[in-house]
Amino acid sequence: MSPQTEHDFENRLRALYRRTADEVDTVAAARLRETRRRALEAAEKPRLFRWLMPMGAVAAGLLAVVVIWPSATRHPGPSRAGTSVSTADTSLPPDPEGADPAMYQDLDFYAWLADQPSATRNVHRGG
Amino acid sequence: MDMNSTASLADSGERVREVPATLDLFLARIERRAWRMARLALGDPEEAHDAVQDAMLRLVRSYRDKPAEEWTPLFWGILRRRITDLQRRRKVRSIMVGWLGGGRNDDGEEMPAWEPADHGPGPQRTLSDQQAWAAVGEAVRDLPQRQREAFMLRTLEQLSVAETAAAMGCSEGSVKTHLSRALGNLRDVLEDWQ
Repeated sequence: MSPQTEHDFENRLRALYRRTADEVDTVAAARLRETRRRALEAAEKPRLFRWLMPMGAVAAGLLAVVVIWPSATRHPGPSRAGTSVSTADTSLPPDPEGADPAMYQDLDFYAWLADQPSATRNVHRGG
Repeated sequence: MDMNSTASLADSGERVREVPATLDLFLARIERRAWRMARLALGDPEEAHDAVQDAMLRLVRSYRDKPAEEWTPLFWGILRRRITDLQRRRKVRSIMVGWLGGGRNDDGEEMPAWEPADHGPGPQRTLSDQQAWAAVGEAVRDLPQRQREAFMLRTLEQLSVAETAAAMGCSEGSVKTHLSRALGNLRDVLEDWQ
C-alpha cells in the first residue's frame, strides 16, 4: 500500500469517527452535558472547603475568646484564689465557714492525738 | 456494503489543536468523541458513560490547574486507564459467573460470554455511517488492547506520538510499533476501504 493510500485510509476512518461522534443521539448528548456540569461543580466544592475550614476554625476561636474573656476577668475563680492563699500565706487561720463542721466536734480527739508523739515513734520503731 | 461511499477524505496531516479557554469548553468539545471511543472499547453505552464521567471528574479535580495544552493527553490517558479498569472488572465478573455455574444453561451447554450489546446509533445517523462504523468498531475491538489504544489515540484523536506515549504510559517507539501493527491488522480486515 502506498503512503498516500495509507494516509487516505486513516483519514477516512478518522472522518467516520468524527461524524459518528457528532451524531450522538440527543439523550446521550444531554447526559454528557449534565455529567460535565456536575464534574465542574464537584470540583468547586473541595476548593470552597479548603477556604471554609480554616476560616471556620478561626471564627470558632474568636467566638470562644469573646465568650470566655469577660467572665474570666469579672469573676475570678474561687479555686485560683484558694490556691494562691494556701500556697502564699500558710500562717493565716483557716476559713471557719469553709471548714468541715465535724472537725470541730472531734477537736478533743485531735488534741489527744497531738499529745501522743512518743507512741507514734514507738509504733514506727516496733513495726 | 459500500464503505467507500460512506467516508470522505478528512483533513490531512497533523491537526493543529486549538487551545481551549476553559476546562468547560475543553470538555464540551471532547465529550462526545470520548463517549464514542469508550463505547467502541467497552461495547456498552452505560459503561462508556461511567468511564467518561470518571475521566471528567478526575481531570477537573486533579489537573484543572495544569496548562490547557496538557489537558488533552491527560484526559485521554485517564480515560484509557478507566476503560482498562472496566474491562478487567468485566473479565473478573465473567470468571466469577463461570465459577458459579452461570456460564452454562440448563442443558449443560456453555452460554456465550457476557458482552453488552452495542445498541447502535441514534435515529439521525445515516444508515451508511451506521453500517460503516459497526464494521470499523468490530475490527477495532478485535485488535489487541495496546494496538487498539495506539490506533484510537494517534489515528482517531490525532494526538502526537509523544502525547500518545504519555497517555499510554509507554515509549514513543512502542507507540509507533503498536500503531503500525494496528493499521496493518485493520487494513486486512477492512479490505473494502482500500
